[in-house]
Amino acid sequence: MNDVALAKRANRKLKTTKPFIIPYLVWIAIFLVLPSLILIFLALTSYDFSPNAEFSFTIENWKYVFGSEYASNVFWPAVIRSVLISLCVTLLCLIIGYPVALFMTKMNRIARGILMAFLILPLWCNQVLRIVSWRTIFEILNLNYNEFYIMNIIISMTAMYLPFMILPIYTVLEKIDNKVIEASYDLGCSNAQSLFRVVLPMSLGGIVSGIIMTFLPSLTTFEVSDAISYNTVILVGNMIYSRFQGTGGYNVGSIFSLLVVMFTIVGFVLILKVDKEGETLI
Amino acid sequence: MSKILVELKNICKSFGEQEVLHDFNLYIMENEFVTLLGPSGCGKTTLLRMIGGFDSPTSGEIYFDGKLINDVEPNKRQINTVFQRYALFPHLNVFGNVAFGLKLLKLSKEEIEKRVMDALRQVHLEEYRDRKIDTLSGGQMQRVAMARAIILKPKLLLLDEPLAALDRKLRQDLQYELKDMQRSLGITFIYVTHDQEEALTMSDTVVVMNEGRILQIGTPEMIYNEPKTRFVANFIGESTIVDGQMVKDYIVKFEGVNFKCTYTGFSKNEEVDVVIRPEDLLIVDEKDSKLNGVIDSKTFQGSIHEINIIVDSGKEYTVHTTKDYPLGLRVGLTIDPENITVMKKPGINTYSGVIIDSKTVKISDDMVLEYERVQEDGLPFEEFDEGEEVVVRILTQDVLLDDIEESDFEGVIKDIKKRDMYYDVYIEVNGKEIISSTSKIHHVGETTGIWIKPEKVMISNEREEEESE
Repeated sequence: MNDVALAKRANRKLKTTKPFIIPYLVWIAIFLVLPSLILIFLALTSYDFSPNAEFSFTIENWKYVFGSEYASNVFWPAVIRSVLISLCVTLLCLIIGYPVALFMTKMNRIARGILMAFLILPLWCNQVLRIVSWRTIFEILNLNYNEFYIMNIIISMTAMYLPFMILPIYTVLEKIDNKVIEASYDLGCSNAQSLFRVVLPMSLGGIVSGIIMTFLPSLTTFEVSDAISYNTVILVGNMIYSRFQGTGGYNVGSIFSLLVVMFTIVGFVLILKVDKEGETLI
Repeated sequence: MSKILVELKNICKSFGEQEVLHDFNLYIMENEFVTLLGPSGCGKTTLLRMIGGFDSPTSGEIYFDGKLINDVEPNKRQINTVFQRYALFPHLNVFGNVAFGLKLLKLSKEEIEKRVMDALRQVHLEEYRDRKIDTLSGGQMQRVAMARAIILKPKLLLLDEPLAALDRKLRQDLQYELKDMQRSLGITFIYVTHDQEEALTMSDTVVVMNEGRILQIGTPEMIYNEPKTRFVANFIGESTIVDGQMVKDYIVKFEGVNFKCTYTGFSKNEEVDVVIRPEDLLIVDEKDSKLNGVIDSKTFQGSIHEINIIVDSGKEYTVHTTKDYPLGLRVGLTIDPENITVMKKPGINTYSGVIIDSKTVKISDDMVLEYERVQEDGLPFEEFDEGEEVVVRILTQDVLLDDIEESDFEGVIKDIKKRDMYYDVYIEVNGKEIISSTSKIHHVGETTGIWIKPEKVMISNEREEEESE
């Protein structure tokens, strides 16, 4: 079959499958595109949906976020705190998760199934429940005090996001042909050399996906610090959350949100750079 | 004078219950091009992996350059491998793949550059040094795999079906290149393939394997012209195999006709297999031959016509000729004496026995065997009755000699006769004689344990036997 015929055939196929994606497109339009537009709108105006709000374009909100005393004393420190905590969580997930993923590829089918279940089953349980149970654990361990809060947050977030590090790395590792690893031994690699020169570089795509899948969500969680530190450790997520409680904070909150969205987009571009087929995103 | 580079002694390998290699013995000389040839599942790849260090034998010894290497890690062996489907590193480009082994040796940049480019030149890929692996064609990947393996100047190169994934034309080109490269590099090659044409074209020595055993070792000419077993004759090239009888030295009888041949040393009227290659049969006029038949079907295959002739006994013979003949023509067939290959039939121990129950059969007071009937064509078995008299047959190659403790019964070795690839060991078990074909060395007068796998014990009804005789 020539290229033209193939293209025609693909086109025909597209026509028949098109109607079925409409519900999803509608969903995206209502819950993703529209809110984003509203965020941009709120960030650029003084209107905030309150009963006597006035409408005018303004850059006051931006001045507030980037110039005010509140911003430099509360918001930006919270951003830095969030980034540092997320970095810790991501690093911990990687250090704990990579060996697990590697080990999983060498297990027999049954053992791997059991381990996989241990990874995935907790995800089926509500996230808030899991966080609260962590708090209970810290209480039992007598760690539920001010000076331990940041550590507690890091531990519970690491536990929460670990599967999202392990699974993409495992997906990539599992696809590596064992013959390639044998080839590295054949050419003189020790176990460590084989790991660092062949296995690790070949699983880079999975590592990047794993990092992004843990770093970005942990950057914006608010419920963990909320529950674990009784809202005393303020993170970006908490700041956004509090701005949209009640009225009056929508405009500044939108800017916070947009900053996070930008982070996400940068992360997504990074994934695409490393993993062109997008196979590790699943 | 060349010396032995690799020696395999009594190698056995089992995966769980399944025995992949059975008491395997082989030595390979320096600078030899050896091909392990056999159908898939014959154990050839397992053998290669054991030499490379990726598998270890269940028992037996592997010597490389005079040293026992059973427990030497693959990265410590002076052996490199060209893997099936190449196993190139996808995260490195062509240069990176070829340089991989050298970089581990911590050589200087200039040295690596020079040697990689030399290797790439050898496989005609200089311009491809910066190409990514996934942009290469199959043939190019094969060449990168070659360059990557030879750059470390190994004493031994293992090649696991390196050309299997390529198309026919490219495969033929690369066969010559590989052979040339082997000659110019002076490296010993062990080449695994299931393609008999490849094996015959390239090798100095061909090792034909089946079911974990060596069937024949020899030069390509020897293997082709004088196959030692039915399996080899069938596997290497096309052939017609007929039952025959050695009437006396130099005379073999098949299809009721006496033919001159070049074989001696058989007992009088010994039953044999006769192998005839299609290109050795000549079509002549009916009255010039005693072997006559009718042309039944034919196909044109480019340089030759393949003609199938059904002779008067009903047996079909395949003939390759350059001349075309009409269908239905009655013709005669002749063959030169030196083109007739005569093979010994596989040895069989035959006994009469009595069924004890559905699992055991008694041959004598000292020889009670377990048996297990193997379903062959899906037909249900007729159960034997207790006390029923039966004929028990065991191929001599299925009689295994082992430690006395683990054996079914024991006996004393009375005689040993050297055959082509193995020894026939004659053992006396309290008055009964049993023959075992084995490649292990035994000594006359020794007491040995004997065991036979239940599924290898062939039992048939005596009544049926008489009817079919």
